[in-house]
Amino acid sequence: MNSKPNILNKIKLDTSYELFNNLSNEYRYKILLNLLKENANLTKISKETNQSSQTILGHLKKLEISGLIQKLSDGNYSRTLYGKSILIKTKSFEFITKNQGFFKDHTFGEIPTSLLTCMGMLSNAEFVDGTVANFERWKKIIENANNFFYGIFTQVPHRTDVSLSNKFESGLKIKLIFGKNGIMSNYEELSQKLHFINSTPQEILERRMAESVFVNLMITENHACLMFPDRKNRTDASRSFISTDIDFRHWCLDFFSHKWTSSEPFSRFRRFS
Amino acid sequence: MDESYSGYDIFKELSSPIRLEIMQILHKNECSISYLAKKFQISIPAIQRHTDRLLLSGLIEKQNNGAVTLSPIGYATLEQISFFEFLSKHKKYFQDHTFGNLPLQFIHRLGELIESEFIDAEMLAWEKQRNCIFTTEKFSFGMTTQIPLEAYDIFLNKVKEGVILRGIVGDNTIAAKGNSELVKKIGIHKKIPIEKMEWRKIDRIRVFVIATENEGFVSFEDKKRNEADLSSIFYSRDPEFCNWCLDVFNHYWETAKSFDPSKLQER
Repeated sequence: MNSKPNILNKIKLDTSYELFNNLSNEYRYKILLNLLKENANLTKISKETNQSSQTILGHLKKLEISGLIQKLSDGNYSRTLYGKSILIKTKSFEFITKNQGFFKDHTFGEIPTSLLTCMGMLSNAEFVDGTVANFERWKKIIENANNFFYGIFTQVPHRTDVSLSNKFESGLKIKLIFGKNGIMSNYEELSQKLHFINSTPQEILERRMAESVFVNLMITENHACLMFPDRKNRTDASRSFISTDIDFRHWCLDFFSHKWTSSEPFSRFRRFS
Repeated sequence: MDESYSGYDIFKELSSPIRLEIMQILHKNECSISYLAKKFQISIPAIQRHTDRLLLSGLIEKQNNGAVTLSPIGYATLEQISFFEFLSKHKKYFQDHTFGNLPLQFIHRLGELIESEFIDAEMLAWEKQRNCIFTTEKFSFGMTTQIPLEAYDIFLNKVKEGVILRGIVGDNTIAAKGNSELVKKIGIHKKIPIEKMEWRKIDRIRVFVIATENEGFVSFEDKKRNEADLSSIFYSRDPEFCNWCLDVFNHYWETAKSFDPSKLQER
């Protein structure tokens, strides 16, 4: 999946094991999660978790010793920066467990390790299942865009060309990345479809060609839509993650600029049989 | 347990050292169950209890030939672990430091800093930085709160050698007395082309970084003083570490405004 030498092979995992053990208790995890929202004292925490204060005190001690929470002078407990960071990272796990079924037959494609570790930023997204449902959503995403539209595509996005060309006059800035691995079965039809692209000035539309494209993407100033490849490395455009969330969009923008800087100026599509 | 607690399930899976180690082994290669049993010197049924559990949680998968391999989500999960390792190792440090205004993606990527040395002695840290700039051959980018006068000599020599220098300063960046005079004397803005040495400014430096093609330095915000702590820093020659530092530098560089270093506050 990634050819970069991996730090995982170098490190020992003895410190994290302790942490995982500490947080693998349902109550301790829940206490830390609640303290992320606001500080609380023993009575309040016991009430929230429905446990005796004796039991909770034991859990609080364990969390305190490991540095995840601290006791304040007013008797309240608060999460530490360490505790907060651990929970931020747990979002990555939430994204994984929530979409466990999906990733049984999909992969993360060419996403670089540095972005894979930020996966928690994707946790606030809607999973849109079905080709037709996705067509409609893409149309809406383009209709709502006024500043920019960035896309990474394996196949020419036929369903979006009309909506996109409608936007040309309103000054929407468009950047598109295609892959050399793209499945383009009918070149004649394709160039016709792309006619709108060939006659467009560069300051409105820029195109680049990546060595290969598996993960597909659409980003505007309001939305982002992310599609992963299946186990045969074919982009699955019938299922997508769509969100207006700022972190989700930020992640997608980072992935886009990663692809953009590693791709070449656009060349004509090659014919594939 | 409701959906928002689903992260906790993974902690349960990862709270066993043997399961963690199995995943680490599979990160390199697929393995047969009997190989794993031999490796851990336990019986096949015993190892199977662990692999069955990992299979059930979807972190590993069974191949047609019976071997087990890491699944994409297992791979992604394992990629998060160095983050926990780094923070757990330095949790004392983070009791009185914060991430300042560091964007979320760099916090998620903190695991890239795992292979590093923590230097808790200010003079040693300065020495390391000096050596680092001395030995750089391609580029040296830094975002800092302190610019010593002696640095300009090194900068000028480096520019002559063809090294690209970039500096980000903030409202809280301090130079020594005589800085303005020296910068004007050297004529940084007039004699040195901007593509060889460029200075920019942001509001406030809360994270300190230096990135060169070989080395990286980072320190975080001192909670009490609200600015980057130069007295204890993380240092490394590890490529992942350097890459993190470079990405952080570039992030601030993009929004920083051009600046004339003769205008630095002096003290």
